[in-house]
Amino acid sequence: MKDKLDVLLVGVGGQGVVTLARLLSEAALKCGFNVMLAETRGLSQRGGSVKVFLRIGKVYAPIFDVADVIIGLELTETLRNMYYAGENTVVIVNNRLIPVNMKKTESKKLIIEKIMEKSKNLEIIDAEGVAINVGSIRSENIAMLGYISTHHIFRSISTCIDAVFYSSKYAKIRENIEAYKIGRKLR
Amino acid sequence: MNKLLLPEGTRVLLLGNEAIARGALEAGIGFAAAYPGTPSSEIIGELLKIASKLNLHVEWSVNEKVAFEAAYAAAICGVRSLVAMKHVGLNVASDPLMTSAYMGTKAGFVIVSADDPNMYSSQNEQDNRWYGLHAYIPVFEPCSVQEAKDLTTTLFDFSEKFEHPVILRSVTRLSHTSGVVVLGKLIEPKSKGTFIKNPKRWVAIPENARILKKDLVKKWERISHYISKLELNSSENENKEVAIIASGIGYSYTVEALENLKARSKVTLIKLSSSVPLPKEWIIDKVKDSKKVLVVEEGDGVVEFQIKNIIAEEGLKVEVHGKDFLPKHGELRLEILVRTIAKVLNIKIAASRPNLKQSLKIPERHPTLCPGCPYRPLYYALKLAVKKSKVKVVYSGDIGCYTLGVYSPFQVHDTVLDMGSSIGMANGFAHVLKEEKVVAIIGDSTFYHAGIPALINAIYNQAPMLVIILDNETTAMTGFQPHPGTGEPMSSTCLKPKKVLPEDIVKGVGINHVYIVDPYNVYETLHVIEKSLKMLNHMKEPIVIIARRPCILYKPISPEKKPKIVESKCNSCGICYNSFSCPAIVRLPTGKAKINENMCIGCNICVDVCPLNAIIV
Repeated sequence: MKDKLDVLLVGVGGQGVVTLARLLSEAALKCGFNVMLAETRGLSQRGGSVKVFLRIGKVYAPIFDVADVIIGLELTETLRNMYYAGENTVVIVNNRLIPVNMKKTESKKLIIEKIMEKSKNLEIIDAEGVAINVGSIRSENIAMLGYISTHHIFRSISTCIDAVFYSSKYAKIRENIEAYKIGRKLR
Repeated sequence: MNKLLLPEGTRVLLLGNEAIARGALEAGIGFAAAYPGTPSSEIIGELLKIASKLNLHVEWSVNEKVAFEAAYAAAICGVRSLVAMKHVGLNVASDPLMTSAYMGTKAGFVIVSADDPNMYSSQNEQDNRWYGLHAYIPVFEPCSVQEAKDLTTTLFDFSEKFEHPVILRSVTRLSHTSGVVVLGKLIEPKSKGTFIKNPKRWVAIPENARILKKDLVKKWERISHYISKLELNSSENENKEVAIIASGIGYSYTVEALENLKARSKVTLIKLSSSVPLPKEWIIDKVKDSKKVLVVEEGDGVVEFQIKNIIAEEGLKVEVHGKDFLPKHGELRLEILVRTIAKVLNIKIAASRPNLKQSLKIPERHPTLCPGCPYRPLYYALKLAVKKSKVKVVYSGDIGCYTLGVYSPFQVHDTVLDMGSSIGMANGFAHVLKEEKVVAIIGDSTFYHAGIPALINAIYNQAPMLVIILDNETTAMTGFQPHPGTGEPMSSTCLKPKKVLPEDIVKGVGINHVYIVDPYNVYETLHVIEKSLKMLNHMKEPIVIIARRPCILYKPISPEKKPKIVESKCNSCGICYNSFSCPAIVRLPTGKAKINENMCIGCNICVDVCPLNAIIV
């Protein structure tokens, strides 16, 4: 890792974006890094767009403008936040589309194309598929966590991600453990 | 172990609000109160979890004014006390706030105002540091989560030293940011005190208040002078041509912007934790040799306003910039700040990032009422009843999850002004509108907070209106805090409270027509609303409907069966996914409905809503 890592996590309220971000921030702290995690709560969580700023390393301000990594739990929300992408931003996105209530939904293909216009480093992960296979859609954030724990950009905290996940309350749920293990093999 | 009780020296990740709570514990508080409001709620929420262990009195009060008054009384009895609220909450408590400065305090009294720049969860983004100037109460702002804890502890000493209330101003990006904090020492709380009678000080009748005001003006001078000596404020690099005064969280943004520009050594950087009043003598000394000053602060130009005054008074030849260069609304942004500082320092930087525009238009994803939310069938019934009654209606709305009814398809909020304004404004609508009927929509917690006086006004001054109290048995939007109708403890010292039910209040103030409905029974609800609208034709007083059904997130249901679509019966009318708009029902490309089993919680209301019986359990 350089002296800092700025991670933007996005998704839809209820998908577990904040949980994923908290587990990552606890892992970074455990590995000895400085951490800041900026959330928005209250009205913003009722099924609306969710956006969380995670900063690891030598940082001061709570939020940033250009992310080193964008982790998207949903495609539309990832596209919506692509203005946080710089030239070298890595984008890791769950291949899931949640339609906006009562609005026209674009196809996955078109949304992915549009994301790719802004990023050369796109990785599409089927965390939704993993979660459905293990029997609980709520585990898709944990499937993503599994994948992230093996990713080179998070290598300086990867062992701590493991430790934090397995000692968390989320590892008391069978579906989560399975989703995490499968997530780790997706690479 | 609860994070707030971890031992001294522990390095832990705390939310800004948790840090404030811990800071208060490290000062030995004995009393804390609040009404929930984003972004302030976790301060009292977290303290409540550990209060009984430490023998503190911590409570959710019925509104911010009561919370303030209760906490203030504890403080004048010698018990260190904290009151927390969101920025607009301080408006509700502004009456006691103003006079508390006249009377002062005995033990430390810290008022936490959590402001919401950019309005993530608020109706405005007022900057409550103005209250400090308005009320003669010092305002302090932390720059980081660690400082949020440390400053809170320090402010209790400060408050006690001057026997004066202080305001700790936080913002969303501090209250709701987690950061690494090294904990300090917890001290034994003192939660019992004594009241020493002294009417000249504690009774603000005009005769006493005139003397108190004179004393206050003198005390304010002493405070201003003392603040200049405080080590909370600091500076680096003296006598540079450009000085940056960065207050509160503005300091964190400024340091990062300067590091990005590799220009930290090129400016006199002034870190300000005391934004009202400014440390006058100290700051004059810091900026007097500079040519330019840039003020970085989140919110309005409160520091800028004061520094301009000081510079004019002293006749200094220093150019001051602030909100002329930086945005006057929203929150601070690193990118804009980097550009601004570069401009002030004449540093050349790369042009702004290209290609930010998105070619594909993405619809906004508003927060929505949850699947199974009792407000959805209520709004559905309300809209149908209004349509069937062929009346024109003005919906006087209020603040809570149910404000989401403003969006399509319901659009049942024509106005939202402040807490309790649904019934308050209905008192005006009812008297000036000729044709339209007035429907006031208010949540249960909001009703206790500010709806009751407005309802008494309506019955006594004869304002005809239909008031619908949406009783979901919790304060849902801010995280399920109890209210007096729930029967659950709201304080650490009363564990078996007696319910104060809305129907008892409503009947008690003299409302003659009170109906209680379960919004899950859509057609019964519709019938009662229809009947009430009809009665309003010949009535001069309010009718109240209490729509009672617990919040689905707070008290989830576990149905035996979930609904299914009988595809052969579905004629693609769209009532379930458009008019009823349950997010768990999606439109297939054929127009037919499909239930998303992962989202459906099995409330089965759609079964009643479908006119073709195409949804079955």
